[in-house]
Amino acid sequence: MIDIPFGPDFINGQTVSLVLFFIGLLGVVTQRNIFKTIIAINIMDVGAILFLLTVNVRPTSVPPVGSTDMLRMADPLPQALMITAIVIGISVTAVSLTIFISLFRKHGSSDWTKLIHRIESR
Amino acid sequence: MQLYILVVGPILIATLGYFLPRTLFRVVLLTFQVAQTALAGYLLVIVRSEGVILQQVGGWAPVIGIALRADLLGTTMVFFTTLLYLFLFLFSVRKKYTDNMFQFLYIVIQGVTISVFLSQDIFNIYVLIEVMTIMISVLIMWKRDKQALYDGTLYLLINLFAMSFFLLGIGLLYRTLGVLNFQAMEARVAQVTDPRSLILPLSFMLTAVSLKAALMPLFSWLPHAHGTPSAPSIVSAVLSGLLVKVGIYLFIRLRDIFSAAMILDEFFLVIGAGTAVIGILLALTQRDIKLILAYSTVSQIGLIMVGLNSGITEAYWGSIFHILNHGLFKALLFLTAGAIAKEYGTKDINKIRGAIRRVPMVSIAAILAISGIIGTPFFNGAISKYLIQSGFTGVNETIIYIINFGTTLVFIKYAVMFWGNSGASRTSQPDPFVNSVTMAMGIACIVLGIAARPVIGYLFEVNVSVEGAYYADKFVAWALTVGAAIPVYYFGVRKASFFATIRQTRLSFPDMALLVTVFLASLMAWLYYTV
Repeated sequence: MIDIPFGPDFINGQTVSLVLFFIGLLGVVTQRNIFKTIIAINIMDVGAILFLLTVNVRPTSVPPVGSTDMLRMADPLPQALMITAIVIGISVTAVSLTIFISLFRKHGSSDWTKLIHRIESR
Repeated sequence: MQLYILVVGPILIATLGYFLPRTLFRVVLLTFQVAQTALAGYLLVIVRSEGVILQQVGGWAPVIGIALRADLLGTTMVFFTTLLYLFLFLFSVRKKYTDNMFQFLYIVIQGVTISVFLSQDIFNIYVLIEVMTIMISVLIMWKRDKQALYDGTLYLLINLFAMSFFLLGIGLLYRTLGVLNFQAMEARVAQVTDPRSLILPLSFMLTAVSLKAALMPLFSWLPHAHGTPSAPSIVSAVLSGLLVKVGIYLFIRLRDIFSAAMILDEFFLVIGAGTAVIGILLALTQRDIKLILAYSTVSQIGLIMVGLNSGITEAYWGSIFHILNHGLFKALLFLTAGAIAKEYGTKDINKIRGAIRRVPMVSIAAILAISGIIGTPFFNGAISKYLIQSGFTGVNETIIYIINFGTTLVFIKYAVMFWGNSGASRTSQPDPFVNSVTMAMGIACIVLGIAARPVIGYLFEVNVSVEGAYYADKFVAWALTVGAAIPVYYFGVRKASFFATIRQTRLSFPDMALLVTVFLASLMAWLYYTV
């Protein structure tokens, strides 16, 4: 009997979030545009957040809202933590984009490899 | 004593003080920094006499909420933080760039750093480090010139990139262990039946921590961040003296937590030695004085990692003592470098000569710091380096010798700027605050060196033996090292042309990201084959 790894159960929150994370990683490593780097880091963050949200969650779990049954509800701790992580993600992206705009205005380029040659003179 | 006062105090004072007039804010800050240092010292005394303090924040049950815990290592780091901040505040009293916005960011970083040293919750630490990253990148870009903007962006993005590894690591860890509290994690790691299930979370988290600590392939951001020409010198000093140690501190914590399941020593011993050697090589190629100091930080981090992972008690505590020592003399070196560069109007090592005649006080303080870092007998660096070295024999000891010799070479290159003909007389007015603070820090290097044994005994409850005949031996070894390094520098290093080629190579951001990925993969592979 051979297990088929890509059954319908394979597509769950955990695998999707890991795939998202590594798509983001691929983006950071391959893209030379700073804007794309920021977006790719954001995708990695989202992947990690989704991963934490799927910890201790079964298909039958209910959201931990109000007075739900302790046994049926999803683990509330990661959900509480991830609100913080999402807020951090938003602010961090906002800061990065702001800095990117002023960098672009000063240097006139958004390409990492071009920027490095303009800095070279030191 | 409530531990949260140490964390909330700086943040509250910085926020309220932002709305005060500038002079009044300074008076408030001076009072505050003195009080904070006294409070941290008092905490150290309490922890030393009554043992570890553990407090739950917000009244949650243990393990669920955030706990603050003051143990000897954490409290020592807290005390060191407040002391360094007090020095740096006094140094910057007359500087023009310290307006309210600057002070706000700068003081909040103090609160956040103290919080990292006291926090017991790994997710809390993630949040704190993200906050720290944003604020530091703003401080790096303070003067908004081209170079500073590039350096700040690079610092911000590479750290955010690494911290997303850390977040995923936390997720994987929470799935395996079900807790985020350090104590609870340590207890559960001991019960894990299959240590291999910890490889994945640990390697993700350690990759992020290694980037924070600037280990071998991941240090390319450090010279950009610490050596930005236009960054205020107190920012460079706090970055190199304190904040890079946050990475090492986290490494020590993670290593202790996972020590029941896996031993990381060999991997990080090799990485540490590599970091030390490559840091020296790159420091020798630089011409910018701040970049020389930044790469020297890289090599000293390597030395600290070597000692931490040696598995020998003396070397371990020597490394922890070296964390404090390096914080002191590297902060001092950055402060003096800033003062000298301001006087000369250039940061090029080849254009600065005769500093000891032009800025005597600052130069003498810088020479004291250099004596510390190259391990001159009776200085603090000598003791910590001796302790790190004492655990090694054979080939490993030779490597430590090479590292020490390299450090001496780097600082001979650096010290050249003090001698010779200065070309002009002093142009700027001497600043009494700059002079006295740098001098006080220089003297602290000697005091820590002479009083090393009681200090180590008091801070870490360990009794390290420094043999009686040691000083004579050490003096001869030191004299031989310096004596050999001077001709090697003048006839070898100074003329080597391939250094220019190394200096021109710079990694772009995607390359650094690739190196992070490679580091993660090799750490995973190594753990997979050894555990």
